[in-house]
Amino acid sequence: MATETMTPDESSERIQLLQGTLDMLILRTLLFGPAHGHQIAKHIQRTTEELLQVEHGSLYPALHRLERKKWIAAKWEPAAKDLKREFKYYRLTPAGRKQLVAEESKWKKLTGAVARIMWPAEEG
Amino acid sequence: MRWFWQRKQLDEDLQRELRADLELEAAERQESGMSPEEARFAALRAFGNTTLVEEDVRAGWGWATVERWMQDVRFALRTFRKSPGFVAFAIIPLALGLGANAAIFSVVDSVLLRSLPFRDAGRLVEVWEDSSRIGFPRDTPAPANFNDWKQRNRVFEDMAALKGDLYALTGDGPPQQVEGSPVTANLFPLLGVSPILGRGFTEAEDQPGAARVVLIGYSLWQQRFGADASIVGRAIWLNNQKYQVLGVMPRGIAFPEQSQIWLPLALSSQQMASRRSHYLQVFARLKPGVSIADAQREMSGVAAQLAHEYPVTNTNLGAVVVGLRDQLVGDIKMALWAVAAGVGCVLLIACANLAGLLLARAAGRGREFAVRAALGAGRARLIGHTLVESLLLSTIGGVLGLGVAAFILPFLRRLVPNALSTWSEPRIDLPLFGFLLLISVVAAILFGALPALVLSRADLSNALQQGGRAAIGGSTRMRKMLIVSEVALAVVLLVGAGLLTKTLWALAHVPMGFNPEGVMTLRTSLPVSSDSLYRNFTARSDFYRGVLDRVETIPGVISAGYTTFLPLTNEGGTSGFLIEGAPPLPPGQFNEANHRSVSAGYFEAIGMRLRSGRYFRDSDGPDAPTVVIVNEAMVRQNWGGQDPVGRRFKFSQPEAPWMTVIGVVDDVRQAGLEVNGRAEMYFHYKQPVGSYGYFTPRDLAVRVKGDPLSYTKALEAAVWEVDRTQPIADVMPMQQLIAGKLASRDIAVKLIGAFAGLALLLAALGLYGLLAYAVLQRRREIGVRMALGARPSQVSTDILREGLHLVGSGLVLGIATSWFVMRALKTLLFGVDSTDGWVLAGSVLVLLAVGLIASYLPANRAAGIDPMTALRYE
Repeated sequence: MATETMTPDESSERIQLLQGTLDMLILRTLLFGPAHGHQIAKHIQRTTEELLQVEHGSLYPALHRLERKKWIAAKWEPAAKDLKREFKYYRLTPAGRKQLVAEESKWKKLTGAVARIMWPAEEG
Repeated sequence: MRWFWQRKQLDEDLQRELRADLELEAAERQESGMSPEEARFAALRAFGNTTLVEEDVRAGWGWATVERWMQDVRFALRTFRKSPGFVAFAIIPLALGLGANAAIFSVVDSVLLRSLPFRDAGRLVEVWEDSSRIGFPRDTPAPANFNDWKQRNRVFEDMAALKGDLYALTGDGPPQQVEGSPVTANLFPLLGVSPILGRGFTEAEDQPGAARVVLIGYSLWQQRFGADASIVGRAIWLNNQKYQVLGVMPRGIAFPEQSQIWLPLALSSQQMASRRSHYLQVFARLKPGVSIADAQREMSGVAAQLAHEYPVTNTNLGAVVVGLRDQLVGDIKMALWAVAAGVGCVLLIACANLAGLLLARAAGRGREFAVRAALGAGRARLIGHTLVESLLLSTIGGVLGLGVAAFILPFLRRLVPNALSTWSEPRIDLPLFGFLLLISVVAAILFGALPALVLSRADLSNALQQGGRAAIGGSTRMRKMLIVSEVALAVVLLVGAGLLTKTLWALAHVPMGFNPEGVMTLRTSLPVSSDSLYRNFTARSDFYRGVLDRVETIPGVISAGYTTFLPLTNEGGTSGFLIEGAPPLPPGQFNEANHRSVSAGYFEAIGMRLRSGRYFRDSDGPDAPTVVIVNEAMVRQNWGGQDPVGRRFKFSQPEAPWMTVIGVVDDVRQAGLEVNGRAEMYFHYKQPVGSYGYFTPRDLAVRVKGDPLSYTKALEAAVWEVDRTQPIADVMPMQQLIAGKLASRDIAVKLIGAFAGLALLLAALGLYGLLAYAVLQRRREIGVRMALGARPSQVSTDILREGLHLVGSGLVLGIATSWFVMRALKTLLFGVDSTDGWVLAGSVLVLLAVGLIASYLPANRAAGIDPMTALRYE
């Protein structure tokens, strides 16, 4: 029997994150203040109205990668709501802030360039 | 160790983080109305494969590669433990192949690669006279020619000369015969070697009449003089004369051959002017940037000038420039490469066999790999895993191979030429380790790459569905190709082994012209220099007579005789002569024959047959007419094959007396077993005309009853009864001397023979494995065929045909390959053509027989398949 593979979850409108954008989104999310992994994922999903789904398989490797690059720092702290539970909170470092600015401008250039090709008329 | 703890902490941290987030996810889902159970599963699903997440995170830490390898190694070791049979089957041939290659490498390294103990040795050459006109393409130059070469050439920085000789070393212990060389003062500076103690020769010491001084070798210094540094300045006794020791040469310097004593050559102006006596060995250092070919052109030009200026002596006399290493290595090179190629073939076969084995295993492991792929193992990971397995196999093979190399090495020492053996022994050393490591890795890639590729290309879902059967496509075709190449390589090895065996047999059975069986030999070299005890002819005669008289009374001795050189110990030692009544020879043409001085009993002792006339008698003394015995080659050359008994000839010098031929004996092999005997003339030691200087007898041959070696003590006693200070050397049975001549070929034959056998076995096992596997795989098909009425014999014939088809293809390929290979081997062969029909037919028959057996067993099993069981088996 030939099988066409399509898992149910993938049938929706969800968009795959572009390579490298996840790092920028994490950094941007942390601009609001420290957050743990779950919060970061939820925040991205909620803000994009579930359009961007952050896979755990990508999130944690990304977090640890950013931590190794010293753009974010981590600390175990009790949760604000439930003091009994501790979470690993990530916060932006000054280096991370700089990186975010750099990534943002790169991203702007990229989207601008893509837009100019996709919708040339609008540029007049 | 620190990274380990750090690592552990990170790991715990990660797990804690994941657990915390997971719990939160579950809690949130519970809040949205799920039951705790549901919520937990939903959270787990949302998180996906946590192990995979952990692995992905760890991958970012950078140690993942190392860890993955370690994991693969552990996993591979576990699989190996589960199938020890497979491992043994895979590793033993591999260990043999790797070990043999490492051992041969060590010999190649010591003979061809390791640097010579001389400064900038690549620029050192030896220069010979090309005397092909009398059958010596590399002849020792005459002093006057050496002198002119040195003056006229523009390609060498310097030229030096030496003369090989033997010395009786007395005092400080028992008399000892030592190889020694009078050398020109510039020889050691030219070679770039200086004494470790004392000093070298000055030009003033290299003059006739200068004080007697000597340099001694390191091993002589160690063994005879107890490494005593005060030896410098002391006097030692050489040939019954006192010589002052100037210095000690470095360890390993034994140049040429086994020399341990060096004296100034100090040729007189009269000796220096000679173009007739050829006895020097000439060495030179090329100027920077000058090639051997350049030097050869230059020296040929100089030789042509000399031929023009001195037509009587130098017409048709050339000069040959040979690189020092080539000279020292000699003709062993070819045997060495042959053996190296042979063991290389075996390693290739072992790899091919192992690749086949792994392919078969891969086919059986299709399901395992499919499952692992389905669980998330990437293709790279799977390839990596099989490569780790291969590397591990070859590592174990390499370690065992080291043992194999250590075992083989002692046998290979005989492949190192004497001239090199003092400073270059094959041994287990760093280069050998390096080479072993290299070929182990290369072997792993050779036999591991194919199975790895096949496995990683496996169609996974198919494999899972079919329960792992027939999942791996293409592997059977590859295995067939491997078998064909194994058979082809085995054919090449078999043909090579066959040809070399036939060569060895031919050499061992070549008519040598004498009978070495039951003959004991030894050498007593009498010093004949102007100041020694034996300068006087009668003193020498008395010595020989005294020794022979005593030897002949030893019980068990049948006959005994002295000669200048035993057969196979010296290819030179010639004199020129004129036949009575023959027209004078034009310039540049010479009558030359080997010149030997013997005692009456020599011919019987060595077992040479008399063809005509008579042997010498004791009555052929100094006052009787000079008589001579010649061999058949000399008769053919000079008397047109007619019986020359009663005819006369004389040495070339104008004042020489006429000598009468009294007998004709067989030709004996003098230069080597593969070289026909040259013209020879034998003189009686009691007649001074032919028994002088260089031609004085030195070798004693004694024909005995029983084991020749058991006469050693009695023979030594007989010599020392006559002269207590006379050194005795080279005491050995004549058979041993001949075995020494065959040694390098003998070892080559044994090695290549052994490896041809191994190759045959491996190819047979490979074929058997392939066919047995095919039968197993096609059980159902065979069962169906038999159920439909096929007879067992039809089924087995099919399998047999398949096997023989593979063997046949391999044979064709192998015969074609060996045709090329054997042409390259030609110089190693003797008495057998490189396309010898018997050897080719024999190899083909052996392989067909082995192929038949290897195919018959699986074919028989196929015929025995019970259709009912086979069909139910599925």
